[in-house]
Amino acid sequence: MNKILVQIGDGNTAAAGQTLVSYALGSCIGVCLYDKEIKIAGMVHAVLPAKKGGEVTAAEQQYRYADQGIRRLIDQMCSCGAKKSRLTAKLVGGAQMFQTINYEWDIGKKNIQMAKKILAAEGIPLLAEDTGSDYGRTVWFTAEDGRVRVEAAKHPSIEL
Amino acid sequence: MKSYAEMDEMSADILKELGNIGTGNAITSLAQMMGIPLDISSPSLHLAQVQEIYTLLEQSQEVETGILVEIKGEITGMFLFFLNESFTNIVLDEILEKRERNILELDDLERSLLSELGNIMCGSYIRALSALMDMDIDVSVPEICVDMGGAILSVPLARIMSKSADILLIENQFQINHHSFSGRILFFPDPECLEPILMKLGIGK
Repeated sequence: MNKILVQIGDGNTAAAGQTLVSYALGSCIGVCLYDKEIKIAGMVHAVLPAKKGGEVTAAEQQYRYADQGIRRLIDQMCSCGAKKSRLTAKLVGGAQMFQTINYEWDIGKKNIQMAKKILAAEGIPLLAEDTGSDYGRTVWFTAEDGRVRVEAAKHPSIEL
Repeated sequence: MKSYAEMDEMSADILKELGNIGTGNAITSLAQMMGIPLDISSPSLHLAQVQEIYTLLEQSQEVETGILVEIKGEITGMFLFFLNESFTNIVLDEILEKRERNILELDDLERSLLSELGNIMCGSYIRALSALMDMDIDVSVPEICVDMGGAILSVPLARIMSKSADILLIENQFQINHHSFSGRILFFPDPECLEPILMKLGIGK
């Protein structure tokens, strides 16, 4: 299997025969976009919902944020031949790792909300999600068929 | 100093030394509780992009115990203590009772013991720093999580990244004579408190 790593705060695309993988998502959100027709997959592993004040950052930092990260991924996929109107989405992550009372730290929930908001605004249907709760997840996203496998230390693997 | 990147080498050395002093104290407390001598490796100071932190710490899917403590007062930031699976087991064996356990399914007593341990270690670390610098520092109630190390680490990183483009981290490792029982103390001082720290130690601008 041809594995392409998507590191924290980064994003990448893959074609048929390749698999995108992001290890150990905690509060981060993994957004998986797919164009079924030409088998182009893209994943962003965003850390925060948005940059403070909503400003757009330098290109290499955009994937840190769910809002500009998703938009950059759409552009990236379109430049590989994908059509925005054909894209579908699956979401993984956004956990609350620590049961803290400090609301500011519940970034997981805010990441999920922002990702959904941007997908809705861009008109990309959300097909499935494995989000929230309190545990870490590793995501495998196969470009051949758009399957997303989620592995966790605390739970059996599932497929989206 | 508005960002970590403006820091010079001398300041970096001083921060490492603070890490050493703090860790020395924290580990002494831990060793006393466990009744086992612990070794400390030399500290490292990482100033890096978020992706590099994972590589530097070799942190990923391995299950570890993470104890997170927030600090407030004249110095703000976060502490994250990581104990690997065998270290977690030996701590619980030595202090509570020897038994077979799955660290993903700790009981309440075990969880509260580990939080208390985080509390004591962080308290010792911070007391050493606040005595040295004559600064008031408060420590929050520790939070515990046992899961993939990388997923635990994302929590303090997200907080730092909401304030700074890069990550500053003072790392100290400790182990019981054998490297398979190991842990680490990660101290993430907020960018805005570096200058006051260095001023107190007489090298600020």
